[in-house]
Amino acid sequence: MDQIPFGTNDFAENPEPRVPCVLLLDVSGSMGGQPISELNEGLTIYKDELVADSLASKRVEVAVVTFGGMVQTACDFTTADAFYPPNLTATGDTPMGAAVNQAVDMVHERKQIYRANGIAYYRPWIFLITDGAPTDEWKSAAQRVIEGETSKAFSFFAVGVEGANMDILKQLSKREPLKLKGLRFRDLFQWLSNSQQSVSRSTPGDEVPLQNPTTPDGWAAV
Amino acid sequence: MTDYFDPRGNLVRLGKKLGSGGEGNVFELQGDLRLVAKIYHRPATMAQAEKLDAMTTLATEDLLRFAALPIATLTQTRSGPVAGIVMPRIRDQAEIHTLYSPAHRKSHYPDKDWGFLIHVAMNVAAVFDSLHQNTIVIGDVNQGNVLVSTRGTVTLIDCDSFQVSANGRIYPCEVGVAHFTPPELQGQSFHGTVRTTNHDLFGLAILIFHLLCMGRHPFAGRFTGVGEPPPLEKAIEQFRYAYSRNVKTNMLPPPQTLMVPAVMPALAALFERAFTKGSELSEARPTATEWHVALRDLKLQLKPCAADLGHKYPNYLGTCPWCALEREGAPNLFASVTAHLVDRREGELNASLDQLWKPLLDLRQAASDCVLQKVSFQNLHVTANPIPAEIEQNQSFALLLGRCFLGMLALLAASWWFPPMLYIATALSMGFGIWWFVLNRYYGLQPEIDRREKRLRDSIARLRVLESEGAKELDSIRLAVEQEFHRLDLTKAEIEGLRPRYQADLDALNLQRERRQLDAYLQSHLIRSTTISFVNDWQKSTLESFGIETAYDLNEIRLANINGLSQIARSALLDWKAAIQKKFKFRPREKIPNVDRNTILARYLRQREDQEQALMSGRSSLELLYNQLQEVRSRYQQRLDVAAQQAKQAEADVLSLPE
Repeated sequence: MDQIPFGTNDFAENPEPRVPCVLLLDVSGSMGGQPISELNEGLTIYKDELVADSLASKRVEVAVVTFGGMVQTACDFTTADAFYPPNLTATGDTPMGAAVNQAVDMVHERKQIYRANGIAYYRPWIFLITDGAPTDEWKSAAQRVIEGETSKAFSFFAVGVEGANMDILKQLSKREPLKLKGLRFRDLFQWLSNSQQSVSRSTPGDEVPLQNPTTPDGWAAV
Repeated sequence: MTDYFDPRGNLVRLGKKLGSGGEGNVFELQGDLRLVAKIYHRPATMAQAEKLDAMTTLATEDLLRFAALPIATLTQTRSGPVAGIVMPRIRDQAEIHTLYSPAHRKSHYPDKDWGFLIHVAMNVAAVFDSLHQNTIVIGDVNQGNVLVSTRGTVTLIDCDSFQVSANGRIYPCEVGVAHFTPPELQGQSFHGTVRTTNHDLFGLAILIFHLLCMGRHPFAGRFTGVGEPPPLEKAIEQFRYAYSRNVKTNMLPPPQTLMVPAVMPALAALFERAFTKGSELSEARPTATEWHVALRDLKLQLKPCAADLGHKYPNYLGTCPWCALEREGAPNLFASVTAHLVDRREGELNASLDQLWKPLLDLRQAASDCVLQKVSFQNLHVTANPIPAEIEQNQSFALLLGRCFLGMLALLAASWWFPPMLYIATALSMGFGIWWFVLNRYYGLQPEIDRREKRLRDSIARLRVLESEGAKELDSIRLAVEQEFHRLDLTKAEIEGLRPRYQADLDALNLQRERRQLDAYLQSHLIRSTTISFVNDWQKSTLESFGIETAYDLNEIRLANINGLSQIARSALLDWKAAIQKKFKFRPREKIPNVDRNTILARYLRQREDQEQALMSGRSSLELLYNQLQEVRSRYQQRLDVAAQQAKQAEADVLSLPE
């Protein structure tokens, strides 16, 4: 039997509205070396930033799904204080379609849990980071993403690292996919945390104007 | 850059930067530590500047005690646009959500119980009341701009957004947080909207609800209607107050929440008025004063829970609602209070038991010393009973008769010479003989001797019987004492074992945390993505088919079950795991939090208290037994004394008999 980590996960102890976010991370072989270590570094910064914000630390819930050879839930939904960034290693091919499907399922299940416990929630985020192209069937996953976005069931963001197939990402995501400049994962996660901090201060259901990451000194390019 | 001017043209020097926010940065003011300057990222517009100027006229000493109102505007040049404001500095206060959230409260306010939360709610109501009295509308009520000190006082910040009236104009509040926005304003733009105190009172009711109900939002519940549950702001807009007596809201309270109507009926009635349909009508919501009164009443009715130090609840309830929540599976929402009350009391676990134990030892010793005293005849003084006069008379008469009898025997001998006398002498000697015999045997000294000797024998026998009966009775009580003492000795051993057991629990907790971190760390190391000498891809696939994918999965037993894996590959894998494990660093930031440690400590202290109570009641039961012992002993001692007296008397009586 697994234990519930001590912290703000328990709904009775922390009934704040939740901002669920699935980080969908590509850990296929091509991410090996510098990219994966920058990604790991970025995750640590992400955690530290969230923990430092007392409101976001109670509201933002992170889950990490990795795909590289296979799809793995490296970390199930947890508030920032109990989030220990997994040390990711790169290996295998890129089953992105299956990973997206899993993320959509997880978001759906999490919402059921919130409802059963009377916990308000913001529109969930699915945040995909990849440096390649899917090696499995991804069209049905893309369909689910479009449906989810249209019904406002979640927001889907796609970020391509150098080498990513931006054309497929465009088809996968309703929003314009972003291209990471160089390996600026730290800036990316800083931005992610900042955005979620502002979301966690907004109203559930509201569209939050996010800081544009594609400015000249931002981390992304379109 | 650090020099500004106030409206009167005085130079204002900024010091250290204290923080930054969405609107601007906050700096220390050189020369006045009670004030700070907020410099906006962008200079204020003409309209904003006018409002700020208006506000500075409202900042009375009284209001400044609990609202960081702008005191003066700042400009970069003497006639430039307003670049910032001067306002009171607020120290050592935290956003109110860190108090009402149980998760944060246990680390930020570990000693604060429900009474404190109610008290803060009263203070929030008082602040709202003062502002409303001064025709100020807060407008943007939210979890971030109400600050609380550890003493429970409340201060409002971001006051430049307040809606104020001055110079015959209303300067509106143009911002708001939807969770605190009343139904009638939901979905509307705040731009140009004139806010009312009735709007503020919705926000006040939400804050009070948060404080009293462990951070729950009154409109977040289990949706029982059809379709997707409405998001929070829709639920507010549709008056779906989840704790309402009115079931038509289609919203039920979430699991493991306080039964608001039952636990605080008076406040529940106010919440109904604040949150249900009709509350949007002018001045319909309970005023800050009404809240203040109801909260004060609730606070005065609180009583401590007998089962948990940290719980307080209204005295009109039969059972503790916090304990009830725990029985429903909720965590102890005031665990930190209980824990705080025992903080640094570890020492009490090894406190010496001597003071408790010594009286028990003494009692046991006294009980074992409580024996019957050997009867001593030495000091008994008796006077032998004289032989009754009658017997003396009979005795002398018998002597006379004996002589007569002897005389008659002489006569009988003389009748040899005078035969006719034989008959008479025979008759007389027989007569005297029988008379003498009868008198001597039955009415003389002999029966007295027999009687006295028998009495002596009897009294000695009685003494022996008393002695053995008494000893037996005392022994049985002493056995009870020993049994009780043995039981208490076990209790004592248990108390002495509490400290080591507490330590073991702490160690286990620590180990668990370290273990969990280590497990996660090992799980993050995939075999497939690592080059391990002597382990080729094919072997890796084999391992995967056995579910062995990460360093965590590796152990000798599991590896032993895999055919086709060479010994050298096995040890290479285990070596690899060992090398990874070596690199693992325990994150000490995750040392056992005080509250966790104290929760365990509280449990052990309570056990110790119970056990000490057991020792204490053991002492009284020992005392009871000891009293019983003494009583039995004195009873027997008395009876023995009497018997001894009698025996001594009997002895003297026997000794006093003539030879």
